[in-house]
Amino acid sequence: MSCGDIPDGLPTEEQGEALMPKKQKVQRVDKSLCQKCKASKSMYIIRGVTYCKACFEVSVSTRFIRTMYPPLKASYHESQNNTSKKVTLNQGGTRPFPTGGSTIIGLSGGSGSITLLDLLSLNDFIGKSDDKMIYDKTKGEKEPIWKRGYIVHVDFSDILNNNNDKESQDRTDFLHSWVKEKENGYIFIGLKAHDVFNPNLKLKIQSLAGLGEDEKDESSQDGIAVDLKNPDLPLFPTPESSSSTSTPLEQLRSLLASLPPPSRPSLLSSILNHLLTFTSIIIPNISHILLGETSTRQAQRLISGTALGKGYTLPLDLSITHKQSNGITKLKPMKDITTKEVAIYTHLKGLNKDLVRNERRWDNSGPIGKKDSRGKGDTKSLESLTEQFIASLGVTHPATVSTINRTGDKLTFTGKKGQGVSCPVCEMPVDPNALEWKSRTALTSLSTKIIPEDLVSKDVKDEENKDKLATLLCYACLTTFTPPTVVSKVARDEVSPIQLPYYVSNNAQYRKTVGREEMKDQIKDFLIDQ
Amino acid sequence: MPPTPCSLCHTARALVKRPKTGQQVCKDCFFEVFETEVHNTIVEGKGIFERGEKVAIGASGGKDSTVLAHVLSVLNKRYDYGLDLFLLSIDEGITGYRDDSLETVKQNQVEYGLPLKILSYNELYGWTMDKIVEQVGRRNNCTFCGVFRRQALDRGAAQLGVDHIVTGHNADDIAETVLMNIMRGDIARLGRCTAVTTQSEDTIKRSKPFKYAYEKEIVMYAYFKKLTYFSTECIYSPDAYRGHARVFLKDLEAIRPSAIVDIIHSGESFQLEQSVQKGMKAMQTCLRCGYISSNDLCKACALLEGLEAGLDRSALRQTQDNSSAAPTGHRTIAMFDRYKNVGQSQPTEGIEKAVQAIEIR
Repeated sequence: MSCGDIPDGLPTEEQGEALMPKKQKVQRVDKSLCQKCKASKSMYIIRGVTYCKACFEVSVSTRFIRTMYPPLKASYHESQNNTSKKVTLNQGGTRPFPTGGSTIIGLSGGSGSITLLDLLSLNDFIGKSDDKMIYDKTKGEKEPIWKRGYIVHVDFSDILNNNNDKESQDRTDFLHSWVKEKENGYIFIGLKAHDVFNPNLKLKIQSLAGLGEDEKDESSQDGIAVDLKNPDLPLFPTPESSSSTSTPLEQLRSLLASLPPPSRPSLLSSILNHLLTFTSIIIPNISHILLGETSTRQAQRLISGTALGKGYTLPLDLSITHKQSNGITKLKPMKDITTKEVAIYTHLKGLNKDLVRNERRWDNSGPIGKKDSRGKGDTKSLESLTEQFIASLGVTHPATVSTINRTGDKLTFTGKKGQGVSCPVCEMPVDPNALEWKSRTALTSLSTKIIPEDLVSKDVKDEENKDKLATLLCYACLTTFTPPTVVSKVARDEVSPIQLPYYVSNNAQYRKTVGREEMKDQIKDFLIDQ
Repeated sequence: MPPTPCSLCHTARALVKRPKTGQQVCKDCFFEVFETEVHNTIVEGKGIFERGEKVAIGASGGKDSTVLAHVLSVLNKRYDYGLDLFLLSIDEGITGYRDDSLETVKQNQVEYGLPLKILSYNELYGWTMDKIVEQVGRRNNCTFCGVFRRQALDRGAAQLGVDHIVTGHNADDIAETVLMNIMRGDIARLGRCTAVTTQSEDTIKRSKPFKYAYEKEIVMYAYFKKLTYFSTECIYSPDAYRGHARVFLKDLEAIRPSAIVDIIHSGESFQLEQSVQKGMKAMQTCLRCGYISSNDLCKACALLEGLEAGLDRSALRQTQDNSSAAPTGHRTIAMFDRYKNVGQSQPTEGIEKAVQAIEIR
């Protein structure tokens, strides 16, 4: 029939066209088998794909190498262009190009950095000598990427509350033993957070790195202190003799106690970055700083950085490679690997039990006052709130981390790389007009109101001629140091002004504007009195 | 314990603590600082407005648009912006919600003496939100409402012959939008969501004078000024994605109140890579209704086609790459003429102008 109906109800072969086409069979995946090799029993499910142990390891290792390959190839070709003697290397398309230098590896003791070090060791990317690349071709060994590896671990346990708790204890010695066991010729450098107040930090690093120490600098190292109760953050010089009564640990504790709890993780993060960068400058011939930051941590950093006002420098912070003004490049080879995957990796390798400690616990640094604000679940910082938020959103929206990272990858830095001024605290480029933007969007005074003379304190009048830290800081650090309107008793009890780390003092001195009196003092011998 | 003096004038007694800065201030100083911040946003750079401009205030009857109408009227007089102000309201057709809030808008019309135009979804599209939700369900209905409202505002403004629309989007809204666009990977919107004024080719300028005003401070302002507004949330607001960003933002604000403006500052600093910008679609006009679009059909026409076809949530997935005419019997949106009323005499002129003409100086 023209309508296609079959009168007797039973289809024949010729009438097959009149039947609705059968639905295609859906290929059902056997989740008990690894979807990669299709042979072994599956052990893990990552983003809906099942892996056996071997295929999982290969997957992690492949992505690790693939992330490193382009930036190291680019820097290899750049270095070749700068030399007259060109060498053609056939790396076989898989092994990253050698750099000719040594590397710093940041080891926090979390899954990310532990996995990073394990992969570097397994792939023989790190050599054992500063002089030349040592490898035995006859045994099939390949040329290392870096001549030598210096492992830097910064311990924060002394400034954490509850440091009797096993999770918060100093693990420097434990990590040192583990690194030694690897027998890769790594040199372990264990630092403390309060070393930023140590005037002999350079000598300490040289000693730990087994380098010849410079002669101790007998000249005094003057620092600066800041009045954190004044929004302008006026600076006061502090001769070395006045700061020698407090230990570096006491000075760091004092600084943390003067800041509100939400500001402390941001400051500690700047301190960590500075110690890594400073170490890379002291040790000769360092080409890279390797960090074990995972894609999950990157996504958290993008969101928390946005909430902290770091939008201007986030593209630099998030990029796989970031060449700093000192010529050393920060590299994040774990950028395509999630925290879940590195946790599985460390478990697979039997590293989890005593070695890995994932939480920084910076929320527990410094004293907490009753009036200090807290968030949901008693969280005290934007960073920890962001971690919780992304973890919970990832349950209902599994693509959250990858989507956030893809967004971050499309952002670009609007300033001029390598030029422009840097913030003395975080050592990142300063966003233009940060102070003016803040004061315009949140007025704290009205031009129509005159402050009565008797209410202007003598201190404020004296401080008008002081250098002001507020004019030197980037937007995010300005927010970190801005005193809250309601100050907890803990912060009020701290004596002002507060000593700043030496590196902040040095950076601030470098950017100090020269006052008229100082200018006149320099040229006084040439002025003709009139 | 002696009363705390105001941190701004140092004379009157402090009555409120500013959510934005934590400063304790008196009522008069709070009004002054709030209005001054909005004025600074308006005049910053080259300024949002031009003298003599006709400006339509998107009025929903809620706190943001009510306070916006009040503050803009006050600042227009105080600083002599020379603006012609109108109220423009959109009736989405939500029984028990929009009909009540429109009464508030009519009150605003009387209080501030501003002419009011109300445009309804039913009039424009032949559908109300009640009917849409009945067909589509309670998930993703915000997409329909948002798309339809945007076009409705532009059409209403074109009918009034105005050059500029202002909306009551506040700092909390913008900060939520920045976070949401990062989390959803909406690069195109991330690049423009913090701009105080947005304008594409052939669309009416839109500005957000409350860009740096905290939601809590807007409520505080309305409370102390005794302004009336309609405060209930839309009855159809479901578990939208924006809800995640909103809850997160409130938690951030609890830890650090400045987090809201800090997010806006970050958003303003974001710049997209050139390759991403070049990859974005060029603007064209919709082949059916003439509204601005990046595809053959604008989103409103695509959604309407889905609704007319009797589709449920799958109406959201209607293609915009469709150069054919609408199927027979389907309602379509009328052709959009951006400049229809430009240059023509207005049947309802701004009352401010009328008053100025007879004012004895």
